[in-house]
Amino acid sequence: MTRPTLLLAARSALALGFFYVVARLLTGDAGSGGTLLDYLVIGTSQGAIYAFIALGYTMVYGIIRLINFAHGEIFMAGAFAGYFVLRDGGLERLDLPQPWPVVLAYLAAVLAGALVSGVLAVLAEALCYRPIRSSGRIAALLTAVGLSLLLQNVARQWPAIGPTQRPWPDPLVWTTLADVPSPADAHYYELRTFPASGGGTVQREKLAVAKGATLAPAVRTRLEAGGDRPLYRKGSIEPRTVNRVIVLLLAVCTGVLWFLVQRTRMGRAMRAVSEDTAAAQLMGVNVNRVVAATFFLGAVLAGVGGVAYCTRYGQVDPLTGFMPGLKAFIAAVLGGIGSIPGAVVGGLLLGIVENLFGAYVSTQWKDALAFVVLVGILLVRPTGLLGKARREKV
Amino acid sequence: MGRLAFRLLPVLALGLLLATPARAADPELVIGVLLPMSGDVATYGEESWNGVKIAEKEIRAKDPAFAFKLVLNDEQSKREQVGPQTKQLIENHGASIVLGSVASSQTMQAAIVCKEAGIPLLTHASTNDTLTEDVAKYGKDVYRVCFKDSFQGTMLGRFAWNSLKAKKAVSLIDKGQAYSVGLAAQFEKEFVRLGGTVTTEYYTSTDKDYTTLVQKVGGLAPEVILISGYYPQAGPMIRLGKTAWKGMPVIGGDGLDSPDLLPLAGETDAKIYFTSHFVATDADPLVQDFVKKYQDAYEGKDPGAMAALGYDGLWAIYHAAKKAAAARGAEKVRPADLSAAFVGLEFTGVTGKILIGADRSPRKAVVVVQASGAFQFVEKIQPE
Repeated sequence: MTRPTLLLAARSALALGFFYVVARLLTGDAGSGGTLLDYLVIGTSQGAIYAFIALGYTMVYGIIRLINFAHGEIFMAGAFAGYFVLRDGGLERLDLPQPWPVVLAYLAAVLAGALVSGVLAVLAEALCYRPIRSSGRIAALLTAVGLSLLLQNVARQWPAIGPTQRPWPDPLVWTTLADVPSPADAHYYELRTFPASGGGTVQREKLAVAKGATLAPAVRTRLEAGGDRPLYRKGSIEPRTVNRVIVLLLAVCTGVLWFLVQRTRMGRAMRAVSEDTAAAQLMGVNVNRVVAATFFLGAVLAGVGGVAYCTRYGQVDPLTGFMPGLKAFIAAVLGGIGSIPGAVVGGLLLGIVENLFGAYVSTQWKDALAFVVLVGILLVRPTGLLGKARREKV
Repeated sequence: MGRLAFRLLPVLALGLLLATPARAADPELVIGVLLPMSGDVATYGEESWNGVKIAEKEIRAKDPAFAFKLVLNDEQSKREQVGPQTKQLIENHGASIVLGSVASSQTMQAAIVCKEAGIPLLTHASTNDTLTEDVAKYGKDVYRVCFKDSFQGTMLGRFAWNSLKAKKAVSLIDKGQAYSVGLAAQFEKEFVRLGGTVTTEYYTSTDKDYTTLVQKVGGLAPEVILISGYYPQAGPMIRLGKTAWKGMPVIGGDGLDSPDLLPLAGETDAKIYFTSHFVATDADPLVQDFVKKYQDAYEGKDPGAMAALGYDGLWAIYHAAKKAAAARGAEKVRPADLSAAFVGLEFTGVTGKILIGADRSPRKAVVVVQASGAFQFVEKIQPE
């Protein structure tokens, strides 16, 4: 067999294997034991989060050759936006059939995260990067590092956020009196009441119905007489479901991104600026707008990733973006920085390799592995897996 | 007349100014308090300080003649902050004693600074054995009002073997925390002595992603999982273990005792037990009395173990200072006198009877707590 045929065969086998894992992730109950398939599934969902962040790195690099090290903090800002929407939005108490209130609450959180991240990135670009765009790459890189530290510390000092990690608001699944908990159902355990009129602040009555117990009839009568609508807290979202949603979200987001970049005017402008900024400008492309749009798109993905990441790990703090940001940078380099498919492939690959290494070699050295991968790829194939070798013009 | 008063005013003001230093010259005991008020384990700092403040109010009411001042510094749950913050307490504020901190690795750093300055340190919550044992490193002026991990870890091992009937354990260790390493070693010693087997896995607190670890542990199918460490790591692990750890009880030491543990763990069916110093649901009248005081002071919140230990810590300093003053007569109490007064000090605190022995640690009861919905009292084990 010739070398290209072999390569093609290997690639097809890999792709088939990957689709199998994704299919199992979406259908089966994988991700809950300790088998190879479970690690693959978890690695895929973790890699999807890396991919979300890596896309922003790669797009910004592709267009202005800047490693935006503040990207991890943009991710953190999005996570916090989602946190506040989930905590204070109260969407889960909407009078809709389950599970719609929860779905809506999460949708709102993801949108808020995307928007806050996007706006923050556009601001950062306009205020910090644009003025020094012509001052060379080292100046921009240092600005990015400085901005990253600034955002971290502003978050630490901002009273609404603070330096301490916060438990992620649990995805609340509420149910009404119509199906009163039976003692056999272990999931009902806390009761809160809301004003029957809806609106207003959530009233929390400390009844704390013991896990598995029913509400005393007298209490229920009292609540109903007071015009309150008792809601029972039912279980939270399974980690498995979270894994599935993350991978689906990535698929949808990359699809939309592909469409935006390949099929729209703005996308064409982006590709043009990425290829040759000066020529694009001469052809009438508004470079500032294109760069701002790139920052915005990359940050929107990071915001989505931020909410997804924190839902998965159950906490959020000002340093949340640090490690995922670094890992995603490695993923972007692994995939070939500047390449959009590369970011997705690099993210997924890093997630999977990291998890397999953690599972079969050592959980302790898992973090170190990612950095070994970075050094390795820079030594062996600096352009990354899907990156194009670009001749630097001097 | 009015004019005269105006002319006298500067004189009066000057007089006041001069009078103030004269009052400050009274032998006022400056107590430096070092706590993690922010960062990873901030709930420990907050609870401890709440407890200290209740004790302060009571001491001032009981003995108005006892002049003391509390200065609080935040070590931010960061090891590199401990040194400078402790130094500042001693050098800028003139602390004669330092109370704190919580995490053993932090307290060790503080102890080194205190040793150089010749100031005693009383930790209300650091349980690692070496803190009071390694005299060469941490000095001989380190005391504590809590039990040691050799006791806590042993009791944890017995609880897992006797009450949970477990034979196969996995212990999760953070090598970066002295507390985590020490507690797990003591647990393993006892659990293996009883006939069980222990598999060890490691995690780091800088990595927030425990998915792989959790899966790996679940795959080992242990009958009990020991998370040796603190709640910011234990909570998310329990959350991630929702399906992978189904039916496997999770145990830990007092590092799990925080109001943030259950919110971090999320909705879970896991059976979570930990050993601690105090639990608000203990029926002991002394405990209930403290719970009431705490609830009155802090909007109905229940005190955690750190609050009770902070409270006992300040009282211990008060008793020691009184004892030292009695021994010194009219002379000013020096830090060395204070230090000497801790040996053999005996009083009843809300975390139990405290008698600081020659090993500079008390022998106290350990409380087993179950965390399901709230912290439930399971049993209290007295030291033999």
